[in-house]
Amino acid sequence: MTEEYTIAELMVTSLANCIKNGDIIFQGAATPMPMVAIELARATHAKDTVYFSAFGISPANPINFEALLCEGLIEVLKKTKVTNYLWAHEMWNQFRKLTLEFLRPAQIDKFWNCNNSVLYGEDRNFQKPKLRFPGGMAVSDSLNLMERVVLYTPSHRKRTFVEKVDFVMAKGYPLSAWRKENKIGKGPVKMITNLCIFVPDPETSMMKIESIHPGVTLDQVLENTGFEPILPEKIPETPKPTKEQLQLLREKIDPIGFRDLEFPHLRMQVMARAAERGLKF
Amino acid sequence: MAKEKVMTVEDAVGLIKDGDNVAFGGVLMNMKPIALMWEIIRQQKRDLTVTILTGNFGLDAMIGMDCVKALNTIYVGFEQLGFAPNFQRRAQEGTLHVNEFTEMQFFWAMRAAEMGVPYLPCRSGLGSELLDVNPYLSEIEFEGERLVAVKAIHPDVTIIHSMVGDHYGNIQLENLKTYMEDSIARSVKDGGKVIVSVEKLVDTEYIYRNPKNTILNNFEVDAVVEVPYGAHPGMVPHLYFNDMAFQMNFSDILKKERRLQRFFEKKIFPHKTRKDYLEAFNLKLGPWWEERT
Repeated sequence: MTEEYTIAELMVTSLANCIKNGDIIFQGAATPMPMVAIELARATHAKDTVYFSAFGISPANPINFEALLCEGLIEVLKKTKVTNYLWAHEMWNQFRKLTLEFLRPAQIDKFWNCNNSVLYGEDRNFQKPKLRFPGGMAVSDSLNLMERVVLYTPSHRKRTFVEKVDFVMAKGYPLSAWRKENKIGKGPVKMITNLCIFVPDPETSMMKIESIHPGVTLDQVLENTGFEPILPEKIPETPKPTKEQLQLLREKIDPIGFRDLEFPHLRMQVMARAAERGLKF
Repeated sequence: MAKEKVMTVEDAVGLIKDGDNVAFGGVLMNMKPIALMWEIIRQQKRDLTVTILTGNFGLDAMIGMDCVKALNTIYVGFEQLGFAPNFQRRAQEGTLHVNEFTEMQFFWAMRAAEMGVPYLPCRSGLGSELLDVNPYLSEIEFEGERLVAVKAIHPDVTIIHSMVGDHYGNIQLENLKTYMEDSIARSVKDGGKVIVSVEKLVDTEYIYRNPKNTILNNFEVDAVVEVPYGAHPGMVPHLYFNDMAFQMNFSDILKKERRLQRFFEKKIFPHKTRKDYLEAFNLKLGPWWEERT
């Protein structure tokens, strides 16, 4: 890892760069990196972005990550100004108007089919799986209905990136004719990992490397991917975080490093930094 | 004069029969009728089909204590506290049938039942293999468009938790919208039972003062049960937050069948009154409960 920025920071700025000004973003509460990325985008190039989250709908006021980390959801509910929360009827009636969500699939294949349901045993029995995941929640809804979805994972490995998913919980095929015919969203338009960024090939929908992170080799990417991704003729390097982005992240938006919580080995350090700042749990 | 609906926790849960399909309100650890779930465990209900958007500690305990044979759900887990051990174990053994839905599909199944139509169509789930494994889902065509038809689920009993209610079954939420608890309650089959636990029982005059807060009307409810901290160890927004110490301890207890059994026998079942329960877990009834009469 380079000294000037962490991989979490590179992933956060890459996620933030996917946000367009005016996006209406739907984001869960247990996804620290995208949550920080949304606030970073709202502080820089995407000021008019609306943020739907478990805390409610906030058109302008940033989420207080310190409160979330140390005092819990109820304090965030008190401290973040929202216009609405627990909005189920309205949200599901209007779900197609949401434009972006960041999701973390348990298993994904080269056609971007996603699986957060089960891993099969030999008999491929859904009612007696080898491994039962908690379930897809609204992942399939987002992958079908939203204008676009950006996927991410902080641990790029073969058991996540497979040739074919055990169970197609949500069909991928981003940008395909199938999606247009069925009047649904573009699907997953990007996958940001700790090693590289994939995009769909517009012809085949297959995973194609868009860029590889500074300091990472193509071999490293291929060794950790369970299929052969499409390679561009010349592979660009992922843009590094800008000085402005890093300063905002570290000093204003996320000084205790809420973003690091997605890396299990860094969790204790986040807690220690919070304690140093006199924050109580 | 409308009918009196107030019941004890014991009598309300007594309305449930073994083998019933029981739907619960709430999302994640918000607004879950946990006190009623624990009474279901105490009364040793068996072979229930549970219809629940997201299952958490209450559901996993019901599975671990052998009350549940099948699920209609979108997610069972403890979020950052990990997987739900009993759900996972029983599903992997093949002794718990799981009908998995997407979130929109789940609500469409509830709303179709509420509206009295056999199904509602949506675009969510097109191309998904959920359609091959969940009998409530199928693909249909309408004027040349492909859609997913979500068949109505008609539970025998529906159970939700709310903030206040009166003796006649008018139910209100304050400064909060439902997470479709109203649709879930109303999805009940003809002749089924709707049970609502409330934080505080109030006079009908109180209901009249705030009519826009009403989420269910008296004719839609069969039983009202007053249970302060009825969602504990979960949360009711504005009133109380998750009991994290309880949850972390409990997520561990759920991993061992004998420990789970002992926990209920020693820590939950012995409380004769709700007051005893509140004292045992150091739960205080603040001004919110005192101000409402």
